[in-house]
Amino acid sequence: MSGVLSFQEKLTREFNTFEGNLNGQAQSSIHMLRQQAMKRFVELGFPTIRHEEWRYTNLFPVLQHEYEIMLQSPSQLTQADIEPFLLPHTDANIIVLVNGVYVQALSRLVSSSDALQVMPLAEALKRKPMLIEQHFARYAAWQDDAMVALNTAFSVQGVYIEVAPKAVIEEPIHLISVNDAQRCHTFIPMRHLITIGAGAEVSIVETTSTFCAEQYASLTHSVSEILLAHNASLHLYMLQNDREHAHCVHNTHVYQEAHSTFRSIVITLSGGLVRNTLNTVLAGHGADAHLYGLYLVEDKTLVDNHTCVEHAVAHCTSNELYKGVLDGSATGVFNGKIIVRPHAQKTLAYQSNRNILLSRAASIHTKPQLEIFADDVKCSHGCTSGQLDDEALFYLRARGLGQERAQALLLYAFAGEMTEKIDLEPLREHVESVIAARLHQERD
Amino acid sequence: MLTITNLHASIDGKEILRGINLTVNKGEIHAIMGPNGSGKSTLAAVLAGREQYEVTSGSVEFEGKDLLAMPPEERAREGIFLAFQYPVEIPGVSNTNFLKAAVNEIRKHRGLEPLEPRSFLTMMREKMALVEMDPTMVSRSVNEGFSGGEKKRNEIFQMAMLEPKLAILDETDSGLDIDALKIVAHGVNKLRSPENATIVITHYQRLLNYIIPDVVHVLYRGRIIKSGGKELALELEAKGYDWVRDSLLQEEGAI
Ligand SMILES: Nc1ncnc2c1ncn2[C@@H]1O[C@H](COP(=O)(O)OP(=O)(O)OP(=O)(O)O)[C@@H](O)[C@H]1O
Ligand SMILES: [Mg+2]
Repeated sequence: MSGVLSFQEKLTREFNTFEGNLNGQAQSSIHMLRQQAMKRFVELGFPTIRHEEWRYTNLFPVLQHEYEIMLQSPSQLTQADIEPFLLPHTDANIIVLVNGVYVQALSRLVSSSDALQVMPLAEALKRKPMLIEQHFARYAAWQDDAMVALNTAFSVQGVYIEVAPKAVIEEPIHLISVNDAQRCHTFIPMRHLITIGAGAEVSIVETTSTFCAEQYASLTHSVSEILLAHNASLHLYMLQNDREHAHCVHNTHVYQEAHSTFRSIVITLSGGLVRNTLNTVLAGHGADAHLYGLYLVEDKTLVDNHTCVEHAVAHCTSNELYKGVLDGSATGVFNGKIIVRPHAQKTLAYQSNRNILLSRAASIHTKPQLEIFADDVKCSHGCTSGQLDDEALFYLRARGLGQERAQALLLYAFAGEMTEKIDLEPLREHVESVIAARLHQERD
Repeated sequence: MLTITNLHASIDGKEILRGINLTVNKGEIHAIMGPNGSGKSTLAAVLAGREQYEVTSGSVEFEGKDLLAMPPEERAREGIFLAFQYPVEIPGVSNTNFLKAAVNEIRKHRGLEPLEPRSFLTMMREKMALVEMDPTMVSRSVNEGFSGGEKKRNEIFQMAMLEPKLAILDETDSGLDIDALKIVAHGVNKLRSPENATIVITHYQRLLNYIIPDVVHVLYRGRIIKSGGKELALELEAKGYDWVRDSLLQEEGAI
């Protein structure tokens, strides 16, 4: 507890120092917002397991470390350091963030600047005040969420990505966050804002990788706000395959205008404590959201997916499927909230969470949460948790496959239902090969 | 080849097999008939190694080895094949991959190199032709969305691929149309050799017109209560199982 309090105090001191360095800008509207958010964070404090949304995910052990707060301190990394994180054979728009800071020298944009613009968030907020009026802190509500409040207070690093209306971006955007925890425990706050113009189409891949020494932990804390304008389409992939001392709290808040399409696939293969909050608001008629997730974890990894789909207007569709395999003493948490507002008639909302537990020490806490205030809606949800299908295992063994081989084949098939949804071929190949290696499975 | 001696097996404490004795020699075909629930599938599952069933006493010797001591995969590698009464659907696992793995596991056990992809494909094509199976089916997931008859045909196709020493066909004829029945029987007969043996579990004498058994057994409440030649099947069809039971009781009474 004391470790957590001292971290909280350290954050306050750091905030004051940061303010002191702002000079003339301390009166800017963005900074006023940061101040309010900081105040709110101090009032709320870090969420404990008594908080309903954090019941099974105890942040406190992770908050005990004496973190250095990384603000505008990218460590010196070279192209060669980044190389291993790139997707092979992919012509992508590469955005590299080191300790949360956008490093232009390591990044490379291939799409035309008419279609795609990328800049540090702080610069964008300075150059385009309308962003603050219209988007920034509009989708990720900080008033009731301590973690979002904290992130809003420290919203100085991260990127702004703007996809122009009607731009169809062929090359995916690969947002690579590299954290350096080789010399100390590091806490890395970052904040992204992404606006996708009307009729535009784009894919974004987010990966986080940590260089860390055995004795040091890292905690990445990111909030992304994403606007999908009328008719826009986004495929968002999050791939999490980090070190065991690499913890993260990710928040993604999407706002969808009419006829927009949002499709996400969140894949967690390893890490320490991994918390993904993914919310989308279907705010315009005919918008649809497809939320997919796959977690395949072992050891002591804790993976927590908290999703919320809000049907704010009529005639929207949402479809959600999260699948997990938990081994070792891994813990899984799935909380899927669906809110259907009173006028959101003709809503279609599906949700399903399926889990396989491979060891006695592994556990899963799964909870659908439906709040439906309209009457003409079709909603369904379901969750299953259990072992591998015994009959299928026996069938395979009765044909000569050993127990382990049979199990691997079934798990690979279970995960395959998710990986086959990855439209980006190189990413799919990569994910499949990681999973195959994990299962000691030969691929076709 | 196979010697079952006084086999007792139960599930959840309920005894299903109550003293089975059966000997199958190389080159023979045995038919097992019997009313619903008499324990036919249980016997097949116990032979294949299904762990839910507890063998409470008795022994099974296969080619001189203790079959009951082996896990299911080892039994398969030793040459036991069970065509399931209800083949399992396995979404996401392609028939081809599954079969390739199975064929190569069995080859490895026999000290053979894995099949080259090309020879594997040739073999698949050949065996598919044998059971007249639609080639598109093998690229699909194992049994997923297959019709009842297609599943049965897939079992025989797998049998053809794996070339077992002892095949146990559990009601492979149920759900097959007349043409499919002939094709499946033809497949079984084609694979027949003086070196292997087959146990056919069936309710219908009809199948036995195509696969001519050397011995027909009647399984009744977990015991083989009568064995005879292929005429026994015809007699059963005409007179029903009560006839066997009654005549048995009479014999016992007479002693
Ligand atoms: N898991 C189980 N739990 C309890 N009883 C079982 C279980 N499995 C099988 N049985 C019982 O064992 C008995 C034998 O079943 P089995 O499937 O071997 O019969 P069968 O002779 O193959 O019948 P059918 O001709 O209908 O296929 C039945 O009474 C069945 O209900
Ligand atoms: Mg049966």
